[in-house]
Amino acid sequence: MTIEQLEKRLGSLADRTLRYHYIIQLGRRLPPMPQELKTEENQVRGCMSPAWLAGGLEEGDPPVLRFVGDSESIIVKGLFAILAEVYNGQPPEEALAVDLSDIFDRLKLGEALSPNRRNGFYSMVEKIRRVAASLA
Amino acid sequence: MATSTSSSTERSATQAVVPRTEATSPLDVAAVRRDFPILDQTVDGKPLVYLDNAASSQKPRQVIDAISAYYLRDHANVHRGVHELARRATEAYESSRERVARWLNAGDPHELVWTRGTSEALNLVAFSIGQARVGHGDEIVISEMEHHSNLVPWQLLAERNGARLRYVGLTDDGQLDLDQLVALLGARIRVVSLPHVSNALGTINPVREIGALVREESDAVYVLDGAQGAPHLPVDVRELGCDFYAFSGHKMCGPTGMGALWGRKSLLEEMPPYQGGGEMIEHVQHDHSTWAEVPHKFEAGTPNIAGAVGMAAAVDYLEDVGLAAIHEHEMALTRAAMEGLGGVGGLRILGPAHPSARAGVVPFVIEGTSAQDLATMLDAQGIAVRAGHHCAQLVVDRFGLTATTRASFYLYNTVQEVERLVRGVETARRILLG
Repeated sequence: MTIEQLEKRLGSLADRTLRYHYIIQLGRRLPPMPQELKTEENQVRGCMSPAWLAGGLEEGDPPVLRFVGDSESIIVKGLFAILAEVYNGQPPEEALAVDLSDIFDRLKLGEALSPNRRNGFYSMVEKIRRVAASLA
Repeated sequence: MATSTSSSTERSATQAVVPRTEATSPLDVAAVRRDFPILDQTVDGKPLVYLDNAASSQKPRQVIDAISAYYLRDHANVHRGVHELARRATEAYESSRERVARWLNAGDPHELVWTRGTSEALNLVAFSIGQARVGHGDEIVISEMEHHSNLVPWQLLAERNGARLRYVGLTDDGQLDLDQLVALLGARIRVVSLPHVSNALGTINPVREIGALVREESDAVYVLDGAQGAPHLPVDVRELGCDFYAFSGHKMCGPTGMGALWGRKSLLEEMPPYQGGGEMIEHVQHDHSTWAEVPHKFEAGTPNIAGAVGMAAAVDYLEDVGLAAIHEHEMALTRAAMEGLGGVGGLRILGPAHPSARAGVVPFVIEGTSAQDLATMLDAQGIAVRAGHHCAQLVVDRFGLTATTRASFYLYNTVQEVERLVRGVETARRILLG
């Protein structure tokens, strides 16, 4: 699914309950994160609920990023699913060039997320960018 | 006036749909709600249901007006001023102290020290009584029910003075284990500091009985954290048998950044100052200073004068409605919430089984969901609750959890709002569990 499709879908939903419902469904569709990757190193700091995120390069020309993640919060997991849509399949250099705040605004996440959740969301973004930078 | 019995067409229409539990309550909720303009708004198109009162209460127009009137007409710095506004500000500040002291049935208004809130009040006691009375090897008794405000200051004192912290544990239904308390009391105990009401469980503690035990079995100073007590229950400090009672304005319809510490005068006089500065001295010389009389000895710097005015207005308001009526109303809401939530699959309510043992606080968890997600889904439906450890980590640890979702009620909440909470939790559960 592209960001345009996500934007259209989230924009078509009448209220926050439905938007969260949709984000939660995105989280449910994620492939499970292997238990051995839920390490302290992969833990996302700044999330209210425990969350983990790990990424690596997938072979190809050029090689592209692939992230897996999980959280005890199904909403955080859904937010990670949105980030996985943005970053998975991108070469690291292009991933680093993504203007995430623009996407954040287009998906109207600011209206849906409390300040704490927003911090958690950007903690995930930071971690993704660190991984991307280390692989660039 | 909140307790007015005059009826308008609008109010009759509201009362017609009020369930029996509310009709028997002596509190006129519709009239009370008109005093709180903030409640009349929508969140994402749904009427706001504010159930985060244990964190902070809303303010009635009367309190907002009193603060505004003070700034519009009477403000200047307090004490020692010779001009008219300084006289008026001092009069407002000190008469507010008298008002709040009278509300607590304190013997002397000078026993009431203004603070920034409960946290500062407890830090003040821990620091100053610690200096005066707690030495190496002495013991301080607190409990696993504490808000961090009644835990960390004592931890700091214990570290500073080489004292030892002892904890009273909790029973499975969230009550203080009094047998443990009795076993702890002894010659080395210098302080017993406990919550009047638990913020994380809602438990109303038998503080009077505990006070009697403390007196019988020890020479300890008995401190009560009244942050969740004063807003919800009638408090008579002389009858409670405590030495200190700490509370906050913002949880009892008053302003933020304002609270008070009531203390026995002899103890306040014995204690050294907590902070130094203007207002708290008598004479200052190069090598030493002497202190102002109690309570000014503990009020360094220009105080929160408007905050004091707001506190007195909040006390006027609560007394007008009646604390006993407020408590009864909250019990009806708590009963309705516990009945309704009890029917939600996989939901577990923490704390005392009987609503009458709680002060309007209902914490819960749903198997397989995160407490934060639950609160987020309720917020999406216009219902404000809080999720987390509620600054009482030992409490959630005790019950094998990391967080709970907490609904907490106050005088302006209605049974219809409780019904919306229950329906909202059902919706949230359905979505979160898929």
